[in-house]
Amino acid sequence: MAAEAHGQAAQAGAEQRLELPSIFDIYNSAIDALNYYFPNLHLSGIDMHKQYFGFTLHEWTPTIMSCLVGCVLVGFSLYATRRMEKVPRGAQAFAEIVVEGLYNFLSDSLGKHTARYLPFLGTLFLYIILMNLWGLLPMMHSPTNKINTTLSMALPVFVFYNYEGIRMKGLKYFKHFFEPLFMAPIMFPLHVIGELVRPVSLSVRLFGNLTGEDLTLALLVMLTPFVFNFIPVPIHLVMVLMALLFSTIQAVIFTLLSTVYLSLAIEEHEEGH
Amino acid sequence: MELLKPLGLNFKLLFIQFVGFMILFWMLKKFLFTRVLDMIQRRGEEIRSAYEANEKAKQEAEALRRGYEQKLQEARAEADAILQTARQTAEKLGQEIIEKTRQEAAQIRERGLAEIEQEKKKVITEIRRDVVNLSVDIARRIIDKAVDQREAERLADEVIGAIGSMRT
Repeated sequence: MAAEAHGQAAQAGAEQRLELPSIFDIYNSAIDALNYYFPNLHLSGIDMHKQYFGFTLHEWTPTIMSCLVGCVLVGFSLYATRRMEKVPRGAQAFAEIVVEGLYNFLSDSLGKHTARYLPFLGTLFLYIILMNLWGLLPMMHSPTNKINTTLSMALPVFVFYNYEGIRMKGLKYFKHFFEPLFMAPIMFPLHVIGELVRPVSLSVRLFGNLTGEDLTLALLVMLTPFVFNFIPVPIHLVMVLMALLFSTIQAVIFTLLSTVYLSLAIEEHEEGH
Repeated sequence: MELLKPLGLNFKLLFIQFVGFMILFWMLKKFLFTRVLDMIQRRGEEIRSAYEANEKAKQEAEALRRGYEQKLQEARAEADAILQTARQTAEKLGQEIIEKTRQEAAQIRERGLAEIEQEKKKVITEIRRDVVNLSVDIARRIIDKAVDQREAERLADEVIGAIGSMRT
């Protein structure tokens, strides 16, 4: 399936990775099985290498998965807030717990600005944690194990905190690029590089962790021993527990670092930090 | 960015994911965060106002209670004063009545004594008159029987002696 070689050399590095089967692969396997047992049906499966809008279905899979995650999030939000009540029940209570928890989590570093930045950072957290955990569902993949997905969140974070810094402090925002002043010529390039590395480190950290996690899971599933050649022993369960932990931690780290960058950008520092 | 190419970076997919993220951000902001934060804030305000109203009512009750207590104390003091005055008045009145009664009793006694004295005098006068009448009667009888002089003098002495013994 995924390990098959195919013509597009540019994406080869990303495509030849070992993966658990996605919903399309399962569908194709089912079609194959049907064709095997009922040869006169002539069913055709989904061609994973057919081009849709310039990409193969295989390359579209993470995007489709993140769309599903987004739909789950939006669907839950609509369901939870369709009728707001004074005394929260069910989904609304859960939504309030989540939002309030995020608020408290962010207010440690953002203080009085929390309410303003909560939607952006909260969306980041919910989106990332759900995408990370999505890969643990059967037939689903974590969209975050593709660099495109993680960078598509790290770049908005980069733009967002720089924009907010300029909005709050004006031109004084650029002052921190030249500190300490007596070493400005040396420090300026360092600061710029440091600034530019932030989105890359954010995205690559998340991408690398999730890739490793999914790869380990796929490997362990492949190595599953069978007792009497019949009963499978789920040795990857340990890794699933670890993956639950790592997924959460990575989502927290991504959000926390974004929050820290933002709070550093907008803080009114009178006393040197 | 060239560094990331081997990791599978593709700008078209990146852009699509970015658009998806922005749409998700917009929708979650609209449907989740704004609404829930609004709700939490509204509830907080309601609780605060309810709490404040409660506090105010408690303070009012406390003020009322204090006022009533003060009034009660005043009333008690007044009642005490009234009772005191009444007791004093009653005592004075009682004293007066006793005094008056005593005086009256003394008067009555005096009057009684005076009356008794008068009665006594009257009786003595009457008895004297009776004795005189009797003696006159005796004298007339003696005369009627024509007793001798000596006999008559003795009788008169006797009568006078009786009268004299009666005087005491």
